[in-house]
Formats: sequence, C-alpha cells, structure tokens
Amino acid sequence: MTQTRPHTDDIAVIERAKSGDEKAFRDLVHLYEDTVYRFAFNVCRNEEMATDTLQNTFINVYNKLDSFDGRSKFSTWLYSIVTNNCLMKRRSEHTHDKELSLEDEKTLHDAETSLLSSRAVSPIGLLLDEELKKIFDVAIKKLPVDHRIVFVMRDIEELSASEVAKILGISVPAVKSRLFRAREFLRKKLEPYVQDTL
Amino acid sequence: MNHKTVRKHIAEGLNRERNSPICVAVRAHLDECMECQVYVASLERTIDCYKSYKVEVPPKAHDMLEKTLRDLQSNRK
Repeated sequence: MTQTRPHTDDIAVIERAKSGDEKAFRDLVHLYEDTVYRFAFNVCRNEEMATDTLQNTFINVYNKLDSFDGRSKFSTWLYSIVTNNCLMKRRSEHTHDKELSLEDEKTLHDAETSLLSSRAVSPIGLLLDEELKKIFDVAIKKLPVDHRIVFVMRDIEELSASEVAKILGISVPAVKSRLFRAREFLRKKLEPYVQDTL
Repeated sequence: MNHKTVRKHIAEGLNRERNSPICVAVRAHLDECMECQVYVASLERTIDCYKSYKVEVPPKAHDMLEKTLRDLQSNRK
C-alpha cells in the first residue's frame, strides 16, 4: 500500500501479531485499514462492497497470517488478498452489477448534462464536486475490472509494475499494456471535465 | 519515434526514472511535439483527479471491522 512509514516497523508488528499478540494484530489492522478500504472502494466503486471486502480481507489476514513468510513485502501479500476478495465480491454480485451498469449509463448522462450546464454559470473549483465524482465513478466502472485493478495499483497506489505483476500473477508487459489501455480510456472519457480542475 | 510509440512508452514511464535510451528518445519527441505534450498533460490531469478523489473508511465500516476483530479474537480464546 502507499506507505511512508519504514518497512521495519511493520515487520515488528507482524512478528508480534504472528506470535499471538492481539494488540499487535489490532495495530496491524489499524495501520492498513485505510489503504485496504481505499483500494477496495477504488476497484469496486461501491461503499457496501468495499465495506464487505474490508471485513473479509482482515478475516483472511487473521486466519492466514502464519503463512506469511516475509519473503515478499507484507503489503504485496495483503494486496493479493484484497484483490481476490474484490474479485469474489464482484462475481457474487454479478447480476446486480449488470443492472447497475444500465443505471449508470443514465447517471453518466444526467451527471454530464448537469455538469455542463453548471459550468456555463460557474467554473469548476479545485476540489472534485459531487457531479464530477459521479462522472469519475461511472467512467472507471466502465473499465474492465482487470484493467481497473492495474490502474488503481499503478496510478493511485503507486506500486511498481513488477509488484503489480507479482500480485496479479501476470507479466510486466501485460501490466504495462493494461495500464496503457486504462489510461487511454479514462483520459478520453474525462478530458472534457478535467481541463479546469487542479 | 511516432506518436503511438511515444504514448505507449509514456504509459510505462510516467513518474518513473527517465534515463534509459527509450525514455531519452521519448523526451526528445515530447520536446518537439505539441500534440504529445497536450496528451501527456491531459493524462497527468486525469490521474491527478483520481488521486485527489479522497476515499475514507466510513464510520460504519470501521465499527463493523472493530466488531469483527473482537469476535475473531474472542472465538480463538
């Protein structure tokens, strides 16, 4: 996960958690809670699914922590778990997801219409407003999930291409190819709306 | 180097070290090509916008997680 703290701090907490220190496990959860939720939300674009994924991920971590051998970074191991949970959650709600995509077409159209008309009287500010967030949500939801995951890992979480490849079990060129396509798709979709922001 | 090749390499190289021969060639193309400069700018804006989209754990999700942790730890005892 995008970390600023030293890796060694995590290792000490992980070792204590592995030895059965319950407080250490809670500390570990609190260290990674935000990043697991953020990643799950960015992939699922759904608060309920991200909440479920958050719970399931830490249940898995609790049950499997003994199998973490420290050969990879803890964050790499954790990303594998949260990614699998996101994919399983999406598969289990596949029908619902299809229905949403039909609804989202209308949402995108409504949001675009509303945003374009509001732009005529007031410029977009520096922060993302709710209308723009809706457009971002819908645009990224239209990306195939395998491309979306790569975009989130590389451009939002700032993982290296080799780390993403390892987590997803694909080649580095495949990561780069998916990233290129994802960025192209989002850039084209969002270009009219991001010109005045930031 | 044409636009398409440059853009593919940019996908690999944004925010990355840029000292390899390919990156030097990409940079040289960018210095001369207004079209690709506009492309890179819009790409960076798109990524920056997604990064600025703040996602925080909702209180309800945090509370559920705390309960899950308590249940897990009490079940193990």
